[in-house]
Parts: sequence; structure tokens; C-alpha cells
Amino acid sequence: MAVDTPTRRQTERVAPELAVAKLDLRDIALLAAYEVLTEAEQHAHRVQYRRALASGQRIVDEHATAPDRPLPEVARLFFSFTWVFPNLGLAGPFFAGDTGLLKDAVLLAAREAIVSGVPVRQDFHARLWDHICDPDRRAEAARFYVRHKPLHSFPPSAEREAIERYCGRIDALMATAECMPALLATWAIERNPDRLRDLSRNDVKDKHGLFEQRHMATFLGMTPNTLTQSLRRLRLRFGEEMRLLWQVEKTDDYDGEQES
Amino acid sequence: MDLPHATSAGRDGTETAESTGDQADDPLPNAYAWRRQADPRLDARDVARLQAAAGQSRERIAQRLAAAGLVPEAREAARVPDLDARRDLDAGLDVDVDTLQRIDELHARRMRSASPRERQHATTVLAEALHRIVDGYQVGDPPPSRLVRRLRSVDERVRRAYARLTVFDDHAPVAARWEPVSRWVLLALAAAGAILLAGGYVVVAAILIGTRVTLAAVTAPPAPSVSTWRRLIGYNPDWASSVCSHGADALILAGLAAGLHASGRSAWAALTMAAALFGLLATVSRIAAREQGLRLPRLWIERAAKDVALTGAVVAAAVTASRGLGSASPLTLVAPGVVAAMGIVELTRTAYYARRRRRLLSRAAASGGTGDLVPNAIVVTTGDAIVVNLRRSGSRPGIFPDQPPAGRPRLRAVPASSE
Repeated sequence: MAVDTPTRRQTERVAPELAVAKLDLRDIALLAAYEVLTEAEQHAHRVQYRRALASGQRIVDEHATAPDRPLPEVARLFFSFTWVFPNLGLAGPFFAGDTGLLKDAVLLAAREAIVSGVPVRQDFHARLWDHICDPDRRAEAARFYVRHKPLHSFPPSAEREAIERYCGRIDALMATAECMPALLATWAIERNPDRLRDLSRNDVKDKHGLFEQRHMATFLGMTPNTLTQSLRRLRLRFGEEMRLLWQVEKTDDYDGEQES
Repeated sequence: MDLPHATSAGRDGTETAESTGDQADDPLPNAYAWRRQADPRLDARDVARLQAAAGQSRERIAQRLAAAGLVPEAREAARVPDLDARRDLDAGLDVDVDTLQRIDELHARRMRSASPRERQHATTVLAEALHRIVDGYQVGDPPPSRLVRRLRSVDERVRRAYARLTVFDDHAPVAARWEPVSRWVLLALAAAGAILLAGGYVVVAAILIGTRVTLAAVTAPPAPSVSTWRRLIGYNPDWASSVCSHGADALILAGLAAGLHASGRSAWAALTMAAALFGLLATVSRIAAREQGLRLPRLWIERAAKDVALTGAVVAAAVTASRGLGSASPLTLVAPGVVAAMGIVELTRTAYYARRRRRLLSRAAASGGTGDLVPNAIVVTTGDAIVVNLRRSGSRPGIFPDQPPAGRPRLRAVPASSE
């Protein structure tokens, strides 16, 4: 009886959207966003597109399982899995969990990379930053992240006024801290370490579009180290506010002991 | 999060998913939503939308890239060596929090206070606070017309010319001594000049008025300080300076009108008096606009024009008619003419910025109609003025939920033993 044993070569095959990661990032951008170009732009980049198409086909033939969709769609799927969804966990609350804007940002960045030659990753990060800087989106995201449970743990003896004051100060801190987008994003990465692990594979390591803290530091106009220090101090401020609130209880305990 | 004391635990002491900060409403969509959202197909509408969006966002994104130093040619320009040193993010945090809380309080007062006086005062203070916050920031507002920009540059040149005339240093002791008395001395000189003009002593009046203008330009008293006692008695030196300066100009014109009337030139006198009143009215309207949030400082062009016109007219009268204004040349009428023209400029300027503000408001209302973006304040710096609109349809939504989820208490007590 013939046993259908997969060969070594077959077992190494991966899904097409993962296999295209072996292509150059500009080629992936060409495949994904060629349709978005105007006719004149398509004409200008037709040769490069055909070359990318040929390279992509070769990669898929050698390394991927049988594709069920055309190569441009495979390239867009690559962007969805390594650029859109990892950032959804990170900056998703800024977009109210909607992937539409992120997907558009990726395709627009890919388009600009073809037309103007800007690195697609930098353009994409600039677009993300542009969205994140919007004050209304930022307030919305802060409102989401502040649901972090420890921020809602109040001592039983805390008076209403003290809690109101605490809420007000945390509210203001979240709304005014300049490094807040970076803090929120770092927070999201820490809470979802799997997403970073998924992106650390050799093929996509340097090609994923996750908007990491070091990239945000550039847009904030500072060194990554300064941003890290600022985040650390901001977290300490949260702790300090909480400690101030807890002093209420300690004082009450102390008063109780004195009275007894 | 490194929050001391803020650990929550289950009743049996085991750590729950909640205690590690995991949230039930994580932004990850479910598998079905993932498949739906990962659909890579593009239709013609998507392509058209993306092409339009690319054109709209290109310039903005290029600016972001340039500001981050990611564009090779802009990299050197974007790098500021001591940016990190200046950007002490957390040092400003306390100030930010306090400011925000104060602004919230001011908003509450101007909306809810029973006293109209307090509401008005809160509006003014809030406008000032917002001006200080936005000062120096680039506000996304369409640039003014070319004519306005040209007028601004002329005004700036006149300001520099006045600054060159000044002999006092702001920090010199003599300047500090001169400041409290300066406005009253200048007013007294103008009043004396006006009385002398009315009496027909044109030469002496011209000397006094010339002295006043020269003294004001040469000494240029520094901005009045707000000392404790001044605050206690509610004395506003800015207001006093303004009244003295514009009142003095009107007094000189009134004196001129009285002199002309006494010399039998009633028509000229009436014109001069009308110009004085009109100029005063225009100035008051500009100053009163501040109470509505329009921050319109005095134009240097206006000051220069009035100084030259008033002094020049009186000197011309003194040259042509040493005693009495009966034989004064028609050049005397230049002064009321200039004052009236400046009055028209003042009114036009106030109307221009009021219209600008109205346009901003309607734009904000339009954006508020599509979503829930109702601005708390619109602040626009305009170089020589600031247009502040305060508009609040409701309270700013807090980050902490006002209403607890159904069936859950607002506050979740944590036993002290878990510390």
C-alpha cells in the first residue's frame, strides 16, 4: 500500500503570504499597490512590476504551498498579517479597533514607496503617527488603556473626594503626557508578547511593519533612550498618584489605632 | 505597570486574569472578523478612494517624515542638537496637569456661574490662558490674505523704529520709577496742551504736545507690573495706560476743536470734535472686543500716525497762526482726518477678525455635525492678534467611565493585606 509521505522539500513549504516575505520589500510593495497607481504611473513602473511578478512567482513556486489567489492579493495578505494586524493590537484603540484605516495606510505607503522612493516602512510609520497624533483619537485610546485594572483598584477607606481627585489627575496625565502614544503602544506590546515573537522569524524580521517604540522616538524627535526614561518616569507618576490615594487608608488606620 | 499597592487578587488569593491587566475587551478581532478584514481584494471604488487619499495626504506625510529627519535632505535641518535636553517631558507634566485642571475649572465657571461678572471674567482669563498655551504653536489655519500680511510687516517695521528711539532699558531702576507715573505725566501734558489750544496759546500748546510725543517715544515705559496691592484693589495698569493714551489724543482734538470754535471756524470745530469722538469710539470697540475673546493689541501704525498727525497739525497751526486758530491753515484738519481714518482701520480690523472667528465656528459646527467633534476651544494665532473662540456643548468626556458597568460598583475596594 502506497503511503503518501511528504518529502523534505514539501514539508518546508509555507503559506504563499509567508513565502513572499523572501522578496525585497519594494517588490512586495510593487505587487501589492500596483493596482492603486494611476495609468501613467503604471506605465512608468511596468518593467519593475513585471520583474517583481516574475520574482514572486519563482519564490512561490519554490517555497510556498499552492496559492489560491493571484500574487498581488498574496502580497496584500502579507501586509495584512505582518503590518496591519500586529499594529492593530498596538495602535488599534486609536482606530477604535477598525482595520480599514490601517489597511489603507499600508497600501498608501506602498504606493508612495513606488512613486517617490520613500522607504515603505517609514512612510507607513509616518501615517500611523499622523493618525495617533490626532487628539480625539488619542483621547479615545487613552480611555481604552486606562481600563487597565490596577488603575481602578481603590482602597476601601478612600473618600469620594480623594478618588475623584485621583481620577481627575490620572485623566489629565493620560491626556497631556506627550509620550502617551508611545506609552500606550509599549503597554500593548508588553501585554501581547506573542505578536512580537511571531514577527521575529528570519524572513519577516526586518520586513514587518510593527510600529515599535524606537520608531516612535524618531517621530517624537528624541532618542529612544530619552523616551524610555520618560515612560519610566510617567509610570512612576501613576504609581505616585496611587500611593497618594493609599495614604488615605494608612492615615485612617493610624487614626483608628490612636483612638483604640 | 509598576503600580505599588495596586494589586488585585481573587478572594482565594489567586491571581486572576484581571489582576495581570488582561482585559476582556482586547482589541483583537475574532477569527471570522480576521478573515473578513484580511480580504485582500480591491475593487474600482477602493482604487479611486486610495488614489484620492494619496493626493490629500502626500504633503502632510512628507512634513511628518521631514520633521522626524527621515528625509535625507531634511535630516540636517530637523536635527536639533539639544532637543533632548530641552524636552524634559515629565518636568512639564505637573504644570500640564494643574493647567488642565484649572482650565476645566474656568470652563465650569464661565458656563455655570450665577454671576454674569464672574462668567465674563472667567471667559477673559480662559482666553488668556489658552493664548499662552497655543502661543508659538503652528495652528492649522489658512494664512491671511496678502494685504493683511503686508500690513503686518509694515506694523512690525514701525514697532522696530519705535524700539530704536527708546533710551531706557526695561530693567533699569529709572525705568521702574518712571513707569507708574509716566501715563499720568503724559496725560497731564496732553490736558495742558488741550487747554492752551482752547485758549488760543497755540505755540505753547505745540511745545507741550511735541514734548508729550517725544517723551512717550523716548522713554517707552516698560510693561506695567502686576504688584500685589494692584491686584488687591483691582487696579489694572494696562487699562489705565490705554485710557490715558487714547483719552489724551481725544483731549488734544477736543482742545483743537474748542480753539477753532472760539476763532469762529465752527464747521472745522465740528469736524474735529466728530473725529475725536469717532476715534475714541473705534478704540473702545477694539478694547471691548477683548471681553469677547478677540485679542487685538494696539497697532503701531495707528500710534505713529496719530503722533505725527496731532503734533504736525498743532505745529502747523502754530507756524501759520501764532495767536488764535482763526487764521490756521487747512493743514490743521489733517489731524482729525488721520484720527478718523485710523478709527475706520480699527473698526475694519475688529470686523475682519470677528468674521474670521465666525468662519472658524461654522467650520467647527460643520465638523461637529458629522461626528462628535465639538471643539472646546478654537484658538488661532494671527501674528498681530489672537482669535479665541470658546465653545463647549457639554463637559469633556472623562477617561474614567462616569457610569459603572451594569451590576458592578463604581469603586472596587482592594484589601490592604494584598499590599
